[in-house]
Amino acid sequence: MRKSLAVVMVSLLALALVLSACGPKPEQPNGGEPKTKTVGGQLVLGLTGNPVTFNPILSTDTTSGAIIGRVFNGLVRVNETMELVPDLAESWEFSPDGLTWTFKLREDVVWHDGTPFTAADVKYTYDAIKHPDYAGVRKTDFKPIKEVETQGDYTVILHLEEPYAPLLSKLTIGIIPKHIFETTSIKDMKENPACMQPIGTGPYKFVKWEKDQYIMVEANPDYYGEGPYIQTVIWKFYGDNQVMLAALEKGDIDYMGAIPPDDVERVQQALASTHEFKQIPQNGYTYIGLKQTDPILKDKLVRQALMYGTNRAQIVEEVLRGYGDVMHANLTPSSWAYAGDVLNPYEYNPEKAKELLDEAGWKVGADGIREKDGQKMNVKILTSTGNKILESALLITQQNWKELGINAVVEYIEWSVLCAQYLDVAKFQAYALGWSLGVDPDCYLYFHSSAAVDENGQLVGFNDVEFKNAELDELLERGRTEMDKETRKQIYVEIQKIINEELPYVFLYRNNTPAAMHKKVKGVVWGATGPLYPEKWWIEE
Amino acid sequence: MRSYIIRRILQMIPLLIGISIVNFTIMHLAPGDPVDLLVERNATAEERARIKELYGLNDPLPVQYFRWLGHVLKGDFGKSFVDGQSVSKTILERLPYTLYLNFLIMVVIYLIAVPVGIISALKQYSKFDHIMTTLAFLGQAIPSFWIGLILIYFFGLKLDWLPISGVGTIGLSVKTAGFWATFADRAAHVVMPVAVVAFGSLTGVARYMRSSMLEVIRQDYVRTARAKGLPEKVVIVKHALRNALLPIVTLLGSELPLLFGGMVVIESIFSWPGIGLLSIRAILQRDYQIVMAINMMGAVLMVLGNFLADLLYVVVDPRIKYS
Repeated sequence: MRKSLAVVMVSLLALALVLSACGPKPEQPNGGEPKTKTVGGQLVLGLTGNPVTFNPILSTDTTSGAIIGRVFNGLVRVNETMELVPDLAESWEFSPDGLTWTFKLREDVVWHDGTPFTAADVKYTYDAIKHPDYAGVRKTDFKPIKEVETQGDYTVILHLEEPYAPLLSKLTIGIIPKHIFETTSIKDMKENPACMQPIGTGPYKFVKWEKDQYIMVEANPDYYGEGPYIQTVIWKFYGDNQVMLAALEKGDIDYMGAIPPDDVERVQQALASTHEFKQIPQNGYTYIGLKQTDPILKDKLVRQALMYGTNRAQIVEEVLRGYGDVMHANLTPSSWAYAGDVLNPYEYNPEKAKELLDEAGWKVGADGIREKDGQKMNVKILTSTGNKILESALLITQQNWKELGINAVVEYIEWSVLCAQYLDVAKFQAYALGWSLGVDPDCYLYFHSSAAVDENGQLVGFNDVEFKNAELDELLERGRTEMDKETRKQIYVEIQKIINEELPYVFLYRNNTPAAMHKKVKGVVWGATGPLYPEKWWIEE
Repeated sequence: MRSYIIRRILQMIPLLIGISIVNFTIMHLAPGDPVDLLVERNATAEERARIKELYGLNDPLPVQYFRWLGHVLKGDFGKSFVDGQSVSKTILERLPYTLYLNFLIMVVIYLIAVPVGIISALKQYSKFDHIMTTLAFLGQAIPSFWIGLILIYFFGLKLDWLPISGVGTIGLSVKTAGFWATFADRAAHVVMPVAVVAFGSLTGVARYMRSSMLEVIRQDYVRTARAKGLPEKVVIVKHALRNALLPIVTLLGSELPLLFGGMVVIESIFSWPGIGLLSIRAILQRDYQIVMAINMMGAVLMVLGNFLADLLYVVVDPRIKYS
């Protein structure tokens, strides 16, 4: 009896599907309950910050990135588990020596102005980044490419200087149209009108940008993939997070990506019936960099004492209101190469920290501050102004360290001054900042000895703490040249173990920002680091 | 008088050049330059040098200054280092919004502050005067971002009377909705920003008006007017007020630069696309061309405003003569 009822239900649903197929596009009923995707509607997203350019190879900020992601496509894209899947490239293969990468491109792609997309566009984009006059931040990413070769209209061959596995993750960068940009020199590229009125291949076409007010894009009917379903997408600019929050509550915007942790509970209650709340884990982390040559911090025991002696769980609980994870090494749980349980979690243990400091020879002096050979244990942490969460985290850290007998001082400095006078010349004792990470686990530029300071005192990579470890160097080099993913994973697990033991940084936390999406928006895929595949979303009023 | 005006105008030239030199030097002395923010942090020294060369940042400062001055004299403020767009276009895009907001604010301030100041003065130490004095101090003391957020919370969110941000509803224009609907929409958007700034600043003008009025009604000629039996209304309006307004009129002249000035806090709270957000961003990004253009605009207006104020003195006060 039950079975026959189920059969009736299924046939009714199938009938409904067939009927609805005439109007809105039906979704493939792949096991789940069938849904009807309506075409049309408008999605309004909240936006902080001001986009600088919509040229994917010049853009550096996440604000521009959000819009670029809907207007442009790369050869590959990142899926919900942070793996690389085909986008403009249909398939690719690596030569056995890893030096020749061949990409087969889709043949059904057209630019928003109707011109067909070809291999020449890919070559133009990569060559532009490699051009000496290119003033942007992707140069290092593309240095391993010796030459970009095209074969016919739909094959691109990359010739590499040496095998370099992380390159694939850099090919997510949007391809720009050659026929539009070749009229300007690389030096003047950003003056090309297409940087402000972009022409891409993506599911959405750019409509207009009213500075500091809003940006509007509309569905591209010629998009090669599934969708888009939502007709118009608008990003509304807000200069203040509290105001954006009010706009969310009022219904002016449908999505807000970073709700301040202090407000989450209240908003979640107020909007429980209309909005879906999700945590968006950040693929990045906040840390205190420790100068490895500093007389106090060069001792591994001291660095480990700082890890044990910093109540990082309290920071996550109180400052981030639980929206975050304690970090133990340099990869986040979002990464496919994350080491997980094999790492020492350094749970808060001030007693152990004090023992380690005693062992290292730092004895508590008359004033409560530890000292060794007449030197006081003073640590100065530099940080940039304007990050409230980090400020609160450092207050807790400072207090924790004081209890260990360490006199910690925090100094706040404007970002460009901090970079120019301290970080880029690698002159500091300790500093607190965050890294946001790429899709690939490669961390050569952060921890390889050759990425530290050269003989002229110039910082080569980002190894400003001057961490040097021969074993790690070797692993980092192998991690770049090894092409097999499983082997690479093992290499990066080893790397995380060494970093977790040697501690170039005090690893603090990564924040998971609470996000809210209106329930009328359907089909949202929540990936490792946020909502994905916007072209497949649709609106059900 | 004519020679005075010509002399003043000629004096402005070296003054403005001096200001531009000081601005230019201070800005270039600040650590970091636009190239640091354009290229990767780990770019090599040669790569940096090459990009600096392209933007002419390797030349000695005086060379860079005279190149800039040469272009400015031809009316060209250059292109932004950051987004490559024309500086004049970028500023002109925002100026109308700033002028529109600031003009309304000024009108509201003077419309309220002048009568309030007069009444406070005429009824010195009355209940009205005390309430106004208290409000004046509150307006000065409460930070505008706080008032802004409170207004947004009550009138925008709880009561849902007013839109909370922006200049107008997206997509609504005279073409799509007709003149009056558009007018109402724009007006609703501007109420809160105007209210917040006016509340914070009208107290200054009101106090100014009050003390000026207080000073005037103690003058002998006012007592004379009363003594010869003129009605109180005539004494106040004709004899006292006209003289008390003198300093207020000149205040208007010196407030000219304020009309063009941005208000970073208000602009970011109410998402108002004005000059303030543009300038703070340009400073943080070391976008020299935009910073210089905005600074010079401020300097020119300040110098002109002072000149205008001096001229207004002559117009309203026959005792003052320039030769």
